[in-house]
Amino acid sequence: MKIKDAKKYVADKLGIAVSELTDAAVMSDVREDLKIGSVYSTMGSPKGIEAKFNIAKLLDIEINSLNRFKR
Amino acid sequence: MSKIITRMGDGFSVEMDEQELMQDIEDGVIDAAERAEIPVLSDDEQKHLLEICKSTCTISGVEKGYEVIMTYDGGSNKIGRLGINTGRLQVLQTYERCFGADTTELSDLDYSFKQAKHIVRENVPLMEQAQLLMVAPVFYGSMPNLGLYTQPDGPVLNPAELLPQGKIKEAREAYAEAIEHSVRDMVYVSSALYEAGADGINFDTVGASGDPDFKATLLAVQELKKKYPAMCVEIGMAGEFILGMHGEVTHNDVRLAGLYPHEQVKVAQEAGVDIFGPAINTDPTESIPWNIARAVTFTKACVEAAKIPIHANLGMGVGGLPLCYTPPIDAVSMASKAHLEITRLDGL
Repeated sequence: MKIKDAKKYVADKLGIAVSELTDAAVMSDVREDLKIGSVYSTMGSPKGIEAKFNIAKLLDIEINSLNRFKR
Repeated sequence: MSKIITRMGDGFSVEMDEQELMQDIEDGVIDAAERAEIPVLSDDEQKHLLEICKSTCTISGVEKGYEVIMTYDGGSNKIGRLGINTGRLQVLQTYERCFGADTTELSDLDYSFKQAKHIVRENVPLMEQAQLLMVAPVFYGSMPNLGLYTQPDGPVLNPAELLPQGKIKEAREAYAEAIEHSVRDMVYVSSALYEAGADGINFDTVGASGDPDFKATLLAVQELKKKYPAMCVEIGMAGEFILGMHGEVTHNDVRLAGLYPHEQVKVAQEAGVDIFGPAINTDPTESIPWNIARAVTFTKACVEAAKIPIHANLGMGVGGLPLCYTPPIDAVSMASKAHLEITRLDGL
């Protein structure tokens, strides 16, 4: 997928505007609300593979490592 | 006319007036267009490039909306090069959490598939652990490096020794044998790392040993995509032009020697490559505006020819950046801005 289409796909799935994808203020809240991992490793927040599972579900994509983890 | 401080391709500063700078941009554009038989940049694009190259800022940035994805080659080797003693898992986390990297790459210090084959069992558990730790995609990366298969480093007769003796047939046979060894190693290592959870495989510095090196990579990619259709494969080239070390190697009836980026990408995407990285060489004797103009012209034609995402190589000595160990940030960010705003590529 070329970048323009990819940005729109992700923004639509996250329920935000394309321009907000690179807005750190907006994305901090989005990341926290959707449990997809954040830069700060806060207590109880999803990290690593846990965040990746949430991303795969949210974006409706297959992730190689998750498929292998499930096996 | 006031002077503009810019740089030469070796990184050192040079003063030019606006007319000289514009002349360098025009010359760089024409050099690329004539070599690859591609369109020149439009007048508006060249004027936009002039505005970018006139910048007196320490760091240039793109307009909002032009942000792209970053991929890396040799990612987990580079912190060690700074003399910082850390493990590769910590390096991957540093890329993700400190540098804001969109993707990361696990790799070995000896960055060649032939060498990686011997230590694949060390890398597999590391990739598995990395996938538990990381949120950003983790690629595995290495180079085809066909030269390592020739004597004295490898089993095959050395074409570089055969060719000066006029043994052209023998040299070509040696390349054919090296390709077989190389494909086998690339498929073996890539399969193991993909089975360990890698999000993709990065074949870096492709074509460093000329057309047989590119051929070996294309064959390996085809085999891997047949085996793992969902595997993400990125290839980054060694230079702007495929050297004809063999001269008659073809892939799907396309002669590989002499291909420029806009032609390389067509062959690559047909083989199953998902992300293509053109590498445009820097001429240290020309100015940075000349080099950026040239790199942008080549890369724009490549983007227009591509159906897959293009991640141009912008590093020391490629993509219009100075040929030096620590490319100055003004030149790095200027070249990045020019590529993003003019070529509309997908990543760096």
